[in-house]
Amino acid sequence: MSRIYFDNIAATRVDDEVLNAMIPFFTQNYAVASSIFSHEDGIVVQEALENARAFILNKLNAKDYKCVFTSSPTESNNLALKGVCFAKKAGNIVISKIENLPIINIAKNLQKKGFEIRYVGVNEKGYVNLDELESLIDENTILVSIQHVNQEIGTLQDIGKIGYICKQKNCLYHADATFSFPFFDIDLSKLNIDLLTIGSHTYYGPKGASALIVRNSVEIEPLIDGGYQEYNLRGGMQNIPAIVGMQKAIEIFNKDTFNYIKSLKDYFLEKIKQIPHIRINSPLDSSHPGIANVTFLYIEGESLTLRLNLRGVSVITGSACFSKSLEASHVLLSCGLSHELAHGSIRFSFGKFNTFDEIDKTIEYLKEDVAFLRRLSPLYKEG
Amino acid sequence: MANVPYSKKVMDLFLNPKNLGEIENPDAQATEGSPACGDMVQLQLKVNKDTHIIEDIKFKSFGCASNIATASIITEIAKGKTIEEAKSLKYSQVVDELGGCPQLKFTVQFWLFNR
Repeated sequence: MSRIYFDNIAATRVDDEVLNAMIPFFTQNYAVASSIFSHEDGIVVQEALENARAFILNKLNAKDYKCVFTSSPTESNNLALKGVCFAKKAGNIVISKIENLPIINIAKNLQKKGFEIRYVGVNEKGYVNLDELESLIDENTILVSIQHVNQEIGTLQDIGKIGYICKQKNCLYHADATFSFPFFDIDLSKLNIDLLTIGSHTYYGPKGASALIVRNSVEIEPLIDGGYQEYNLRGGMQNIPAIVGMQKAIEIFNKDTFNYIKSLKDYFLEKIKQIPHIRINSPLDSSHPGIANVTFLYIEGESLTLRLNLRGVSVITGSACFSKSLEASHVLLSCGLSHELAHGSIRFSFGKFNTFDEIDKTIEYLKEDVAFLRRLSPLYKEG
Repeated sequence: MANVPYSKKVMDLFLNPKNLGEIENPDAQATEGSPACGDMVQLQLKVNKDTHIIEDIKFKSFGCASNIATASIITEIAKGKTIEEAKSLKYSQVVDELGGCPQLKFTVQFWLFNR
């Protein structure tokens, strides 16, 4: 029995076209990307690497930027925050309360090293409080890091306005676009973004590829020393097959894919209303086309995800029981949800390989499983 | 069955909990935990006044699979024992009955048990 995979924000399947583009770089063009003074095998690979680099910079309309390839968005985020902070030596950085865990933990680490961390709050749907942001930035602010799209509820921030505030205040702006690009276009010639993280594995590209796009004028200290690769900013052999795959995944992503995914989410949000006592935690507008975060009142998330898992449906929950830290979702709590509402939350993230039929089946499972767990619950009174 | 980090016994109780429900006019009731914690159990007992034997015990719970299975097995172990015998139950006995539990879930159970 094939499973129903609704965890596409964690990772997607690799598209066949992407896989086909990658395979020659495992079996034929497998040399290390070399300088122009190298042998033919290395030069061919070097060309593919530079091709990918130029393609990405062009797609982002990034003039006077570097495209530094790394192994993952987490690594790119490390390079962005630590790279900038270590170059500046002291000061404060401002991040949103709902950043993905890597940014939160990098910031905590920087705090131990003497940098001050300031957190800007969000409203109940996850939108950053721009007035508060402005008040938090001062002459000692090195960097603002605020994500483009939120990984749990899908909120789409106004990176244009955020960039503008940072420009007025004369501080750097890093945007984690792991979950937004290329669903949403990013034109760096029109936005004031100094550093941008992009991924690969949420839009049918492979894991193991990411890029940090950095404005040429921004000084960053490398974290990984090596053999002069990546502008001497990130040592280590580049994952050429993954980078080629990433490029192909960007090439094939289009508006039709975006619209199809959104139609799945809209269909789901319509049908889920058949279940009483729910709260839609995701904003309906200005959000990721595939993320629907829903709280089912009176029951706990892990017991629901486990029941769905046994039915063959893969989703995740913001409940404390599910996380390695045993803490409820910091995103939902920052949006002002009570612990109870956070514990009862489930994230459904749809992708282009999902079908309406899968949603129909899941809704039926949910009706049964939610009813069962509510019968178990001391919080639920029927009628 | 899908790969799960729980024993067969825990999964069985999670899907088919025993002694689920409420008792009308219970002789004793306890509610521990809260939805804020993500773990909550309500126990209701009917106790024979003369023999102190727990004649009936029912539970309701809000929580993960560990929570539900633990609450269920507690009612199974306690039923038919006297109040005094039930009080002397050890947490480790429950874990053994359940066939073990994922390391992380000990917090959940341990907390549940030491109330």
